[in-house]
Amino acid sequence: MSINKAVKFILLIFFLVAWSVFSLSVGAAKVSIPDIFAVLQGSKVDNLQSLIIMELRLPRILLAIFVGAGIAASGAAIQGLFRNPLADPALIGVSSGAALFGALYLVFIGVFFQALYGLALSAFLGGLLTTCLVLEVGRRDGTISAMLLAGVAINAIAVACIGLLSYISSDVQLRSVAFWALGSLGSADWNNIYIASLIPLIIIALSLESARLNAITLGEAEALHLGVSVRSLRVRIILLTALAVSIGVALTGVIVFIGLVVPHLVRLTMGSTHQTVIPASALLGGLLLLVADTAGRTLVAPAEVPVGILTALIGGPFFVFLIMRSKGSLGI
Amino acid sequence: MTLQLREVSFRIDSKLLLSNINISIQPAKIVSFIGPNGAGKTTLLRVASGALSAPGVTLDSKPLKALTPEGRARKFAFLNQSSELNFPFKCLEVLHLGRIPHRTSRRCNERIVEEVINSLSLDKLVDRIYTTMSGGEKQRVQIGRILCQVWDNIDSAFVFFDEPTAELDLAHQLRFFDTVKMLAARGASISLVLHDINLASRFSDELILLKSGKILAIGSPREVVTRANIRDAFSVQAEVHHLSCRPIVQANSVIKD
Repeated sequence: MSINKAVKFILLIFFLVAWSVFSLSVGAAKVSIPDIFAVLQGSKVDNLQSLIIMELRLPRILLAIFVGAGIAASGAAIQGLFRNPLADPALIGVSSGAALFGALYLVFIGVFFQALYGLALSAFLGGLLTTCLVLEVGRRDGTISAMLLAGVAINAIAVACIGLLSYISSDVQLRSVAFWALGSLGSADWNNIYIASLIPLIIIALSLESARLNAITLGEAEALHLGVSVRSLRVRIILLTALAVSIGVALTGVIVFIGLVVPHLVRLTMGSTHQTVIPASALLGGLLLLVADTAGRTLVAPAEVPVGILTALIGGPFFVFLIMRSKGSLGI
Repeated sequence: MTLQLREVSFRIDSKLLLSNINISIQPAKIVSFIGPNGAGKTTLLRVASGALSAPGVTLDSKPLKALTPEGRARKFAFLNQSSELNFPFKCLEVLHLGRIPHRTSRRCNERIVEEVINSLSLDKLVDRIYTTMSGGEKQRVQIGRILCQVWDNIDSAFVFFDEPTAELDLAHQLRFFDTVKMLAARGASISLVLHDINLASRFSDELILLKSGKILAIGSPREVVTRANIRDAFSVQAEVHHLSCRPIVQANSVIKD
């Protein structure tokens, strides 16, 4: 790794830590930075401050970092696998498939077992199914535009089905279903973090596929000639990304554009090999979602803007900009 | 090392794409597959390189299938007509992709890439971004990539090119064949699919003329490029001249049935 690249990695980690500390201190109730360190060390026993830091803000910050990192690293891996810089777990329907299955679970099964694990598992199933469906469409038609269009259709179907579910669900269920459509980190607690801590493991597993993902960007035939078993690589990447995205959806709802924008920014500034793109996307994705969430809960405090709305507001225009700039060179 | 195809047939569903192919691909030789569209040239190249698997393909009398994908990738390099790479890789990074099947050290990989850069004069391109290059430059980088793949055992390597000159101008074509001759001189076996019979005739040691999945003629360019063969394979009336012992074809008219 060049020195330049190493410096950028260190900067990313520095900003992530610095913003985490900043994010611990700001909000409806301000906590000074010395107080934060005192609470984290356990030497401060002001109950309210310690409650705010340990039970509200710290889990929320960790959740933002984990989920943002998971979505961005998955976006990077999926873009490599599909050989398309515009693929994104939310764009091709994976996130909404996961959200639909999550909503189905909440409305039909969650009445009996209100378990977070069941919800995550159900979302995973939905994410997996939609990824396979989109991939199959792409394989039959052979073009990436077919896949993106299939994603558009799946998104529409999933949103419609979630809408239908809202008619037959109770008020409480309705509120949690609505929460998915927006994407919010407001429900963060330590139970969420236990599930979300799978995400760093998934990112490590994705990083181990870097060389093979590099090969597949040349084309599937070329990857075969470089000794890569394309089929098994595809299965592994799909399972891993569906898992990461579904965990994210189960815990925070659909957060769009992080998976698209972040790998792109990384390629622009740090290069395109997946050895760089996957870990750097994870760091930057975590940082961006954390920044967006901090903004979301401080801009209109004590109310808050769901983070999914913010990422869509910022990511949407950026996406249009990307398409206009690419002038047809993106193969879609 | 010799790559042998014995009575090789290949079908997809019920369509017979290759039937009863017998050829052997030798070290230090340049072999070109020629023939009309749909004759099975590319299929034959893929079968020979192991991308499509068919019984009857052996490497030193061992079935090609017995090799692991990685093991095969260390000996066989294949360049498709055009690359789908649309990520902004640096040229240097593209060259390093050729080292993926190898478990050699980073230092060794860097040395090999450096040598390939020097021998193909790619030094001006190394820091450029692949997606911003012209077709000819991309082609040179891709050739560099597959050379990196087999550079450390070039004398026992098999290198396959599928219509490598289709998008190249004259200067790039000549430069490409210089590289091919250099590889053959170092002992590599080169197999090419070419549309341009005159290029094939000029630069190949052996020509294989295919039609409808069968070998119509095989041998030196002089033996293969004849009026009768051209008529049978392409259904055109053609004149065949000879320029420094190499036949040149000029197609005159299509034969109407």
